[in-house]
Amino acid sequence: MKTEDQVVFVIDDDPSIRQAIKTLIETVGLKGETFVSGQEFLQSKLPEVPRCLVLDVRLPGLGGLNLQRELSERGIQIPIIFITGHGDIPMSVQAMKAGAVEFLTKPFRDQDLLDAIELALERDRVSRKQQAEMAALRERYERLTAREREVMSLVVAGLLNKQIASEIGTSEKTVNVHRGQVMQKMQADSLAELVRLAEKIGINSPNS
Amino acid sequence: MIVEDITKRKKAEAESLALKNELAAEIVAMTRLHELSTRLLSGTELQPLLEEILDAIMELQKADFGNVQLYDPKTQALVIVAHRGFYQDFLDHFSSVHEDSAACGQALQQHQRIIIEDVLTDPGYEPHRQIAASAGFRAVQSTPLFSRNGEPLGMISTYFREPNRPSERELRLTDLYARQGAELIACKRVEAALRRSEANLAEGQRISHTGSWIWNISSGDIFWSQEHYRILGLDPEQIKPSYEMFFDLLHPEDQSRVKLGFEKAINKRNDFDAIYRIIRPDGMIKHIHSLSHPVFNDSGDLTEYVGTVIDITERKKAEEVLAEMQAELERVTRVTTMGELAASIAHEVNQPLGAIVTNGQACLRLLSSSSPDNGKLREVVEHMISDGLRASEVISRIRAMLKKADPEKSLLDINDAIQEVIALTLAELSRNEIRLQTELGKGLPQVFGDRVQLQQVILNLILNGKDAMNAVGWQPRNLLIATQGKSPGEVLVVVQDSGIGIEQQDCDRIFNPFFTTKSGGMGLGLSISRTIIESHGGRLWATSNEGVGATIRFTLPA
Repeated sequence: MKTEDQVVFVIDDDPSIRQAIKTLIETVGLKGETFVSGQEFLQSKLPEVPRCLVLDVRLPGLGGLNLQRELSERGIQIPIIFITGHGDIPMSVQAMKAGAVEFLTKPFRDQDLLDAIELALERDRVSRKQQAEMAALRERYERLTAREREVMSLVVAGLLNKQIASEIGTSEKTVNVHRGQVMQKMQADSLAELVRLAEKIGINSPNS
Repeated sequence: MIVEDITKRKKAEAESLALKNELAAEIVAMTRLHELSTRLLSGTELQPLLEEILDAIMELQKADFGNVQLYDPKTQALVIVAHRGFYQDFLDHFSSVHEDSAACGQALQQHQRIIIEDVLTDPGYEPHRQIAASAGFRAVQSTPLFSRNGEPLGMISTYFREPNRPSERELRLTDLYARQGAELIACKRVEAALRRSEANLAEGQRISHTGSWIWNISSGDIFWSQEHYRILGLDPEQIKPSYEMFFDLLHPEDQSRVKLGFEKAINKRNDFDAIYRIIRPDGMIKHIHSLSHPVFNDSGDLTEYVGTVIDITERKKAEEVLAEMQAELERVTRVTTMGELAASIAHEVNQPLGAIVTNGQACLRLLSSSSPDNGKLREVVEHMISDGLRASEVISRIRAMLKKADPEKSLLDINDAIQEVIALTLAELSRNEIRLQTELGKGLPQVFGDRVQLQQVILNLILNGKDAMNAVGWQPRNLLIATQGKSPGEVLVVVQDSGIGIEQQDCDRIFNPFFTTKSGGMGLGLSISRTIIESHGGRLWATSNEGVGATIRFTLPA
């Protein structure tokens, strides 16, 4: 993926810090965008590209940890790297528990920040990929008929066609036709693949 | 005829002789009186002079006994101070006479001479007949002595073994002696009173460390009181004061100022009030407060200057110690306050340092590229320089606030001073999630003050506001700092918070030293703030807001 398609957001109330981090990010060819406050960040429209956030813990108004919670509540997923001027351990613990990628104390080594940014972008890239896959999978699943979904849940539960036929009160042949539709629509090559896909979208067998 | 003639002649001769004798006696009496009054003028002790007057009167009246009594205004009694011919029992009997039936008592009461020709026939003398018999007299004469304004001074009495009445001539001469006696007593009384008041004055001068002086302008003569000499450390026996000598004693730094000031006062005929130092011959430095006043004669010419010198060295020292203690207290509370800010200030320095490090690292990365972008490099290095300066500014502001220096007033821009304090507290405010709003007036006149002290006040007020807002739960935390040019020549500074506010009854108490509502507070911040503002000629006061919070305002003359 080309670096221009990724963005690193920087929120710090201190203009010197904002400028310095943006400069550093740009030396490795990444795109940096800076914000003075959490409110300003929340009001802007974020591009749907791999992205991460470098966030000062102590911000006037909406503090860093509050912004992390606010983003989560709004369903905005973005990996966060916290930076702080104070070696504030309780805050760092809270931030990490809430899913922060890294917690750096100023002044930090440039490589540490760039590594953390790389890691954060990779995570975002992966999670975007996963989300895209999941969305596609759900779309496929949505295309199944009610009967096909019923058959699918019994298939992944490990029942034989004959057992399924008896379970839903139809012929073994009909079950076989449904099963073929399911495999095709879900784009599964094998039973094992179908079971994996079912797990991904959270379909549990009726018996278990 | 002849016999008749002879008789006539003899008679005339006798008359002439009698007249001659009378005149001779008169001359003797007058001469004696004159001698006496000459002696009285140069008089030394009262007692021998009174005895001399008594002897003269007794001789004049050919009296057998006599005494002189002095009137004591306190006990309103006559007390015998001199006598001739009496025994102790008489002296005891008349030791203290009030207005009563005795001759001297009556004379005192009636303000006139009393003569008792025969004590045995005079009905009024009945109570004293026994003592008269025992002392051996039959007749008494008492002449009272009065001052010019009629105050009783004493009594001169003469006594006779046989019934007697002194002649008119004798009484006339007695009156002259009595007049001399009265003058003498009055004069001695004034002298005594003068000595007492002089002693009081000297004592007063000694106790109050106040000397006095008189400078006669035409003659150049200078009088110094004992205390004046003592303050200057000079010996009255050896030193003759002069105008030049006095100014030579002045501290060189004060000499021309005081001399010019005094000369100006003389020219304008004004009072002169000055504080200066003198260096005594023993090397000791004395602080003097001098007040002086011109004196004019009847035709309105300036004749003298009279003045005081007050030794205020002790007071000066006490004031200096007090000022030092006050300054030290201010410094300690400033340091304490700064300690409260330590974490925030560390952050404030750390921010630019962090930016410098990051920019430096960015530079290295730019340099390691195959074709470094010089424009970008220059831009980043410029950022580093300005960040370095910023960190250094924070440090110098802290050093200014912490250094031990005497207050030094200069003209300053109050907005600049406030901005510097805000720069120190921004991190602290942000840490406490306080929104700071400033409304600093434009084109304000400069104020004359000590920058560090005024910044201490502003810092105290900002941190108090912060504490007041931390003391309440969740509500918007807003701190407003505003300046306004108030009435001409005055600048108003307002610090308003949205904290817990101040109870009405506490609006004045909060300025008392050690009054605090905060658990960690010393209760000195506002007290010292008010002291500082008042020492700048301004006012500082607190009010509770209509909504939430409190507002502290102070004014400074501009």
